Amino acid sequence: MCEFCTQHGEGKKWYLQAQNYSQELLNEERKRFMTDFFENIEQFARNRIGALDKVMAADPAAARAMFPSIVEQQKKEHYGQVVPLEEIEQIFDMSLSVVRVPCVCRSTLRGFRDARYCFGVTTSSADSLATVFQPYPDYSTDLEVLSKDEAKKAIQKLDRNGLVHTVWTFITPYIGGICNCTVNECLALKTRTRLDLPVLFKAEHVATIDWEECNGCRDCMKSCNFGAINYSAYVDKCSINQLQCYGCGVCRALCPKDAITLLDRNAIPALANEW
Amino acid sequence: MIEITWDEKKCTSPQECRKCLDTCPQGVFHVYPRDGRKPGKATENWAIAPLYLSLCTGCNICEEMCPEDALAVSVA
Repeated sequence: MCEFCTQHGEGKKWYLQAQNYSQELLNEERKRFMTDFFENIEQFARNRIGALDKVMAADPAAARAMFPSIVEQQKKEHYGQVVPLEEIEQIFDMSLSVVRVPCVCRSTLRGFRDARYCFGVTTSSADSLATVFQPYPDYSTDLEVLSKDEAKKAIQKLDRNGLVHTVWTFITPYIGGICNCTVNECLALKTRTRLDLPVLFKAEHVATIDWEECNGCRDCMKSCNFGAINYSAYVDKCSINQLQCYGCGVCRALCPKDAITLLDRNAIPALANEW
Repeated sequence: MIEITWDEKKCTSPQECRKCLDTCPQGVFHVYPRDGRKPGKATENWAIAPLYLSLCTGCNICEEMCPEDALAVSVA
């Protein structure tokens, strides 16, 4: 299991622990952090990612030397993990209400101001999470509160569109956001896959394709954000490079033969340290 | 080293236009509130800048797509 499960999971996966979404954790310090985060997301991106990128362009080795301190700070403040659809549904089942909010990454990277791809869950009746966005008309003026069923339908649709689900801390271990991303529109996935800086864990899972069932249609390849699926023209089959797979599971939705399943990452020896 | 310069006088509404943000194959740019963001107020003054300049391949698509000729890519 990832180190957050060990530190914050109490025997379970950390993101399936209701206490990590609780109002008790959403104290004044965290509310301030979240408000500041949404108010100054572009500044935040420039200070961390932009600054690293400049060094990367001039001296990649010097940039890599900066990684440990950046990662340490991110793990304290704002770190994520890939989570497959069925476990996001479990998170919704634990919650009292789900709010849908605009995506700050798509706002920053693409200029989309009301791209509602992100979710917040609360586990008590006081819905203070929603108030974090309220002061900023750049994102949205009205808040959407969804029922569990509406939230599940919404996330299933995003899954069919090939979007990778992730959970995010706002001062660890409080989980304040569930995001649905593609690599080029997400500050985190982009920074991890393109600059190689780990700002989130891969999933507790990894995908595999049933050789007997695969018909070689390659539909799964269209949805993989991580280039983890290979095709052999000789045998007309697809296979998954498990070292590259993030375990998001979105490839399953596109497979007409239901040939793709998720395995426990922790059960694969070579992946034990591959987060 | 690749450099991208942005002429703020020519580009007046990057947040509405978004041509460079949409068409850059590497997603190099980001758009930000030039004078910061204020609670209770929608930002009007937006600016563009490269965020992932190290990913720029110098393909010039942004320069070609910009309707205001506000972007210039140069290789030094």
